[in-house]
Amino acid sequence: MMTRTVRAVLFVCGLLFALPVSAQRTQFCERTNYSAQEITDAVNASVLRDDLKSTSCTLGGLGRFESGGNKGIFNGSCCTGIFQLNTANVRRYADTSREGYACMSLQEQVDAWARLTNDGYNTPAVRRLMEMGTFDGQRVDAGFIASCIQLGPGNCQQMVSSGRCSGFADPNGTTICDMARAARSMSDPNCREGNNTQVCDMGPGDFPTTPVAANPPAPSPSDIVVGPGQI
Amino acid sequence: MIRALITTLALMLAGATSTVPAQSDGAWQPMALSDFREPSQTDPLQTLVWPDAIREANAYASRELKKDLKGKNAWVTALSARFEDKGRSIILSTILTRACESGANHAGAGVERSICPLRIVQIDKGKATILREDRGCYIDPPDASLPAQNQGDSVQARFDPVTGQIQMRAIIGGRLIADCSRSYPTR
Repeated sequence: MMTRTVRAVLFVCGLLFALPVSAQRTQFCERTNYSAQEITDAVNASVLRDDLKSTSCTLGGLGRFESGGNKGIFNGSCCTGIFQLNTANVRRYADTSREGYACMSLQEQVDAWARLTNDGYNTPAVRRLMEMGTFDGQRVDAGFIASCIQLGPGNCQQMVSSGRCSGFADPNGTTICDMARAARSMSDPNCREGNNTQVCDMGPGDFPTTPVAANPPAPSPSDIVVGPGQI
Repeated sequence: MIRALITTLALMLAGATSTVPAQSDGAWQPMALSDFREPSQTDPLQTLVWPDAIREANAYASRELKKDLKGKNAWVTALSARFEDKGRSIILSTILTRACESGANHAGAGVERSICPLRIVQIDKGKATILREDRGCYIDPPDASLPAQNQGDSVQARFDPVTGQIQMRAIIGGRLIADCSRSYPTR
C-alpha cells in the first residue's frame, strides 16, 4: 500500500515537472482542496451512469490525481478544474469558458464531467474494454473507463487496438493504465460509495457472483416445484 | 414563407456580408473563427451550413444543462474558409459540438485537435448545396494564456483554382498534425 502511494506521488510529481516549461498554470477563483471522498460524493450525486457510480471511489482518486482537489486550476494549455476538462469539453458540456468553469461549484464541474463521461461510454473503445473486464492485466473498473475517456476516446482506441497499456502514451509518457493505477492509489482508503454498498475496488467487469450463488433464497409456498421427470 | 424569404435574403447577402473572408489565391490561410451565440439571419454559416447543429446545441443546453438561453444560441463555434470559383462560393467549415471527438482531459496534456463535423457547401446562383460531409479538425485560435509554442496554432485551408481542390491542415506547436490533413475535390 505504502509503495503504491509513494509511486503515485512520484508519478504526479513527474507529471507536473513534465509540463511544457512555457505552460503557465493559472489559478481562477478560489483554491480548493477537496478530498477524494468529497469528489466521490459529488460523483455519486451527479448524472453519471449508475454502473460507473458503483466504483466511484476510484473517481474520487482520479479527481485528486488530476487537480489535487483544486477546482480552480488551469494547467496553462488545455485543461481546467477538478477533472481537468479540456477547453473544448468545457464549452460543450458546461456551455462556458475555462474561467467560468473554474468558478463553478464542485458539483457543477462534476456534472459537466459526468455528461462527457456518459457520452464517452458509448464509444467503441469503451464498449470493448467493458466486454474485456481486464486489459493487459489491469482490472477494467470505473477509474479505468474514466481514464480511457480522460485521455480521449481516439487515444484509448489506439491502446485497445494494440492490446497493451503501452499502445498509447501522451507526450509525457502517461498511459491510460498509469492514470487508472494512480486513480486507485489516490482514492480514499476508507471510501464510502454513495448509494451502493459494494467494495470500492470492484469494477464493471467484476460482477458479484458468490453472494447470490452461495445464498439462494428459501423456498416459498407460492413456488412451483418442478421435478426432473416433469421437464 | 418567412423562412423562405429569410433564406433567400441570406443567400443574396452571403457573398457580400459573410463573416467568412473569401480566399482564392491558392495560399494556405488560417480558417476564421465564428461564434454563434448571437443569432443571425444573414450569416450563411448559421443559416445555410450549420442550422441543424445550432438547433441541436440549443436543445441540449436547454434540456440537459438547464440553461435559459434568453433568445441567444448555445456557445457553439466554427472554423470556416470561403473560396470564390467561377461565379460560385464554396464554404469549408468544421464545428465544435458534442459530435466532436476531443483530445485529452488531463493535467499533463497540451493543446490537441478535436475531430468534428465538417461540411463543404457551395452557393451557386442563389442555391446552396452541401457538396461534402465528413469529419475534420477543429482547434480554437490561440489566446494569450496559452504557451508561446502554441501562439501560432491554426487550422488552415487553401483552394487550388486550377483543379478546384480544397486542402486542409492543422498546425499545433509548430508541427503539422497528421490526422488533420484533408483534400476534397469540389468540381
